[in-house]
Amino acid sequence: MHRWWMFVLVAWAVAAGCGIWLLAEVNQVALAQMFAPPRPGLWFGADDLGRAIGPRVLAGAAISCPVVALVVALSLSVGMIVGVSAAWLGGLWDLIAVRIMDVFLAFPGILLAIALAALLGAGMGNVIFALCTVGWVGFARLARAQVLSLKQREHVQAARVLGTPDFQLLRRHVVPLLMGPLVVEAVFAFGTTIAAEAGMSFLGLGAQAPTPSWGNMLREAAQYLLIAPHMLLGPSIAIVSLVLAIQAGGERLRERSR
Amino acid sequence: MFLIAKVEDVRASSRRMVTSATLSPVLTRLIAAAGSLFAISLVVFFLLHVIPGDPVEAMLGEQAGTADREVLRRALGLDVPWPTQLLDYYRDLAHFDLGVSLYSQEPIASLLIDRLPYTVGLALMAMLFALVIAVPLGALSALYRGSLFARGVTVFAMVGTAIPNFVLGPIFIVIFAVILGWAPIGGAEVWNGVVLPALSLSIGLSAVISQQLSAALTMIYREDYVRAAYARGLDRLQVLLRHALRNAALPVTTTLGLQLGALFGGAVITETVFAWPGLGALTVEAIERRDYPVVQGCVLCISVSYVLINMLTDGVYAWCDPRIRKMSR
Repeated sequence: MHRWWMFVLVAWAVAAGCGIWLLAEVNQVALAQMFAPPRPGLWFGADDLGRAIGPRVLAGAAISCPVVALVVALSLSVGMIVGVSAAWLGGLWDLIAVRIMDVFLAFPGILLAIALAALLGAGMGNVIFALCTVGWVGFARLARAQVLSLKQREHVQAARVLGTPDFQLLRRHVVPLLMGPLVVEAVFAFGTTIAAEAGMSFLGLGAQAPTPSWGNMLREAAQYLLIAPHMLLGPSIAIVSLVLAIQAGGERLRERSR
Repeated sequence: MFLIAKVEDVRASSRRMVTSATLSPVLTRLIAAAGSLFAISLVVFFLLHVIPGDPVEAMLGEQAGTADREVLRRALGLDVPWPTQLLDYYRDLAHFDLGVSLYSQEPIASLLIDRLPYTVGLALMAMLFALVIAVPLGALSALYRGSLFARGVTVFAMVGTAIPNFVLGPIFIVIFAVILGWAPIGGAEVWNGVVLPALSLSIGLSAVISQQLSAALTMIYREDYVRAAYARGLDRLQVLLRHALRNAALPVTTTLGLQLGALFGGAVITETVFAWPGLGALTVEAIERRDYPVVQGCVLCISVSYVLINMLTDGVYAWCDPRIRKMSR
């Protein structure tokens, strides 16, 4: 029972895999079952165009999960490069890097990403760019702090005294120790980015209709709350279960890596 | 990373701006805040310049005539080189002149002033709700550690931080407004329109605070003065109210202050869900109308409030705790 999050994560990974095959057919309009409430065979009901919501949620996983994975991977790479280089090289570059991070941290939460995506124009590419622009800072801060302390470790000092070149020093003795905390941070970032991406789609900034993204579906559901509240069910369960499972998994990973 | 600001992030960023120990703490904080404000204004200036292609075309659409484009270009000051634009921007900012809305032709500053009280009111109300929910939950779960109730609070905290506002908001509308009919769907026309948006904004915050309070109280219960209070014959409730809660209040107050700023950011989505006429809703309206100068104004206003609130929180924190006050002297 305490491993429930693993099952949820595996289930969503499978769902995202299956969802790719559903992408073509989930946009079929079937006005005969417009706003049909949930029933066996139509588990999460149908939406305003009579499309079955269940398969659309699965197809949404096939869109949201890769996008979020890309955002986290890009943010992690950029953050790591900036953070490690700032801490390792120090001096002027460190000063500049820290100042740039502070600028991004001065904005509240998702606001800057929303504004950026809005000005760049609606679309998935711009959402990815906006989320990365905000997302790399957390990784950079963590990587910088870790490298600053790792630099002082005895094994690094010893390797340096033995004349190990800088690049090898980083690759062999610093980065492997850095990866633990960064991976934990990446897991949590995956959860928050799922929510952030859905939030931006909810505001109409992400994937455009009829593409079934979770935020998009919630946006449609919010317009028909009075006549078809069941439209909330599918995408809500999807977002909350995935974010919960990721948080629980991340917590577990953090305990382990200590 | 995005929705709930991490306490250490915010505080570190405001402190690291100036690390010199020789300056007085008040001055250090003021300089740090000024640095943040400058950085924010600079980013907001460049926001209009990230629009791919011609920003004037993005705002007017492709069908707009050349004459209209030139008028807008001049009105936005985009017809001069960007260093000049930057100087003009700061000169206008110094006069609290943020330009006019492309949609309504109203001055943006007065639009923001009209909407700001709604966002502040919503955020304060959400904080009040969060405290009302979190303090009993946190206190009781610390008192009855390991009980079924305490485990329930942990589950509430997990779900509360995992569930985004745009999921919670519509669910609350369906349950409390449509099915039960206890509160209106939203909007500021009726006095209790604030209840549902504030409640949905408060859940995430109350999850964080209940966990923090419970952790703080658990530590405090191990302290000698608590044991001494028990030895003097005080009962559980008296110890909790007179000794434990008071000492746990400090970290909770800081979190509240820092999260008040985060609530401002989170309000963008919540206000849209509930049609609450604050700054967040104005931001989204402006985005939908392609009224980009208003978007800039909103981002500036929300972010500046965020920095100022964080600065105040930091100050209040230092002022509350005599140990910190002495340390920084």
